Amino acid sequence: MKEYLPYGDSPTIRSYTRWEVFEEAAKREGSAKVSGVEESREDLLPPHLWFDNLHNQKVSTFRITDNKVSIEGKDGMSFLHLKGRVEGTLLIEEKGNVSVTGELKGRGTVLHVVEGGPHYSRWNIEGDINIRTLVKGEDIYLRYETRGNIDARGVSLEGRSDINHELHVENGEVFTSHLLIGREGDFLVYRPVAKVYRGGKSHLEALLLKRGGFVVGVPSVEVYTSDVRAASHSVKDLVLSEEQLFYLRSRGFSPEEAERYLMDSLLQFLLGDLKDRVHLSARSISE
Amino acid sequence: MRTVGKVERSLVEEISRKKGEPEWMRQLRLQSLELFEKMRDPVWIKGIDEVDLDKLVLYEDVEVRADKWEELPDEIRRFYEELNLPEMEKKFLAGLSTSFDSEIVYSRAKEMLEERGVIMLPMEEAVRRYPEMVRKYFGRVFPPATHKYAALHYALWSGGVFVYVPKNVKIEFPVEAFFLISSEMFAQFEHSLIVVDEGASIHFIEGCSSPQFRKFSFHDGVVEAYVHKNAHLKFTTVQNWSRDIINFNNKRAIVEENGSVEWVEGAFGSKASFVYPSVTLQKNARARVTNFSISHQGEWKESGSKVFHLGEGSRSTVISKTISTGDGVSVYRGLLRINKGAKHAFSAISCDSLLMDEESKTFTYPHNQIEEETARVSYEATTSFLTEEQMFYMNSRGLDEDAAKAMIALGFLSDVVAELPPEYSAVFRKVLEYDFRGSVG
Repeated sequence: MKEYLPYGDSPTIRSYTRWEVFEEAAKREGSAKVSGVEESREDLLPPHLWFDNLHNQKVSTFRITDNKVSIEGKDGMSFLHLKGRVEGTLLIEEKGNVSVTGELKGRGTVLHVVEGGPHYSRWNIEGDINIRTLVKGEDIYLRYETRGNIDARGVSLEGRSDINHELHVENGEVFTSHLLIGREGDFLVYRPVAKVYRGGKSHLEALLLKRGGFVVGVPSVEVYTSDVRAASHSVKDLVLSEEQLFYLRSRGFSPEEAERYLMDSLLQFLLGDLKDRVHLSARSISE
Repeated sequence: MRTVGKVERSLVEEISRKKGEPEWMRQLRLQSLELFEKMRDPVWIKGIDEVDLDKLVLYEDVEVRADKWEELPDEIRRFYEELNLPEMEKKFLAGLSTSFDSEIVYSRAKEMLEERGVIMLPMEEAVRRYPEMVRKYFGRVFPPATHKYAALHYALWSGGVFVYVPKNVKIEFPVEAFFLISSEMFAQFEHSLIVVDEGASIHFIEGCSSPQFRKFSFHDGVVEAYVHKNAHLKFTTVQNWSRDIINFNNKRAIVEENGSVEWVEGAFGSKASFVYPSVTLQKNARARVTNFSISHQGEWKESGSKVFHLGEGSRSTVISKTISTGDGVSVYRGLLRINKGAKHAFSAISCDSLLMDEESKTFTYPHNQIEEETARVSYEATTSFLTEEQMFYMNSRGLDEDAAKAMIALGFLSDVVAELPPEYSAVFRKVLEYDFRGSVG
């Protein structure tokens, strides 16, 4: 019996991720600067996490101790595995050539910034957690696998990135909303899939702001029983509301100011506290 | 000739020889066979590994060709009479072709079609009589290299219809092709090609059926449609295979400037079904795809659509409605691709599923790939459920559980069923009521 792969193996889908770029980077040993963690030990990388020819790759394992974790990879690729609890707000910044796998449990908010590349990041998250993600840069592959009540929002900007999010929900509620801002030469993919079981509720949303480039939104849903509360998903063009724009203009805002104002409020909705930390605004996007 | 198993060169050459095909068609079959041998099995088709080609009847020559129902042998005519086809033809069809296993056995284009220059012939006959015209389109819309089972189809195709509508000819009445699988462990590879020339229009209906078998059969058909400038094609499929058929149908249309195509696809029967009508749209071309399906106990139904926007101002609408009962699984798999340069292209997709039982499932995989910044896209999907309150309300109005379920299913599908021709719509309602009565009782 062959394994059934629901997401397919067509050349289009395979082309989303340039695996050879990661393989090439992984052949060279890199160095990574990590802060906000302790207890480092070296293990072999579990084979299911990486490519066939990298089974012997060493991985450094850390425990998260601070509410701000910073990882910066240089040269070739470094392999890291992180574990931690979320209580309150946890900021994770990943930059450069690095492969991160992580496990998080708890209750609170994770602010996650992934920049640079080639970059491979894969997180298992469990609990009542809000995730706010900003992805920016070339050749980034980011995957979340989550269980529990998850509210995941984020923005993808510039470069080439592929975000996958598998959400398992039973007797709980999940929500995702992700904005893809494509410009000339960009290749941005957002692929969430909600697996909804008894008592679950889900809504997935991909918002597209196209200024060139290639943007792909694949919000998928798998409903396993009729005993779920709701399951819906959508892909929308980001068109700012005419009514809201009119309201703001009637209060003395110029058209540009009104648009910026609405865009800023959308970024606030998607990124929350992360918006100010990364200095992202409607002005910086339009520039 | 009845050929079981082993897809090999000698079988392909024998089919080609038997049909008296020109050399280019023989070469196309052989090249497709080579592709089939080289290509990987698709992993996303649930249950495809159950298809053991070595055990299936790959070709059966039915030595019958008739222009009148009376000329058909009793055992073949009986099948069609049970399906009420002769009556429907009299009432509202302009032309009808019926396929029995591998071959077209009944073909009749009413005089009106002939007078207006419409060609409607069994595919084999069209290859012999109009080789140049057929060659221009055959395998160009849905190429054999698309996937492994498309390649297999091109190596073994047999049956199907060729329709050509000349320039500016508008056919008011629908024409129909009917495909029947009459025996178990059979593989049907019919190929239909519809060409609608500039300014012309036609409504083509494809019906599929089969009796109940103990073992399964395999259907791997291809429909190619070429819609020229300003032309219109409506293609309606009513698939009511018995629940032993694995149905893998490949449909694609190319629509030229200002042309339009409508695919209406209703899938009621079959054990597993994979049908994604696809459309390539050029400048200002329009497409509307309507899908609806019902998955009963133990069935797996995949439907969806693929729309490629190549030209500016192109517009597409996709509506999908699925119902799952028992542990039936409905899958929507869609692709929307808007290429760079398709300025102001517009696409609206809506996808609704209804789950009738706790065990029933629905999966949705929509791919939206946008390269053009001025394009406008909207995709929305919802899942609804049969609730205890709804059932209680219906019961309190005197409807038993089965009647209530049938009524809710009909209500859910009513707007898409309205797109079927009236006769099919009435048949569909009966099938649905029967299905729900049968599935519970």
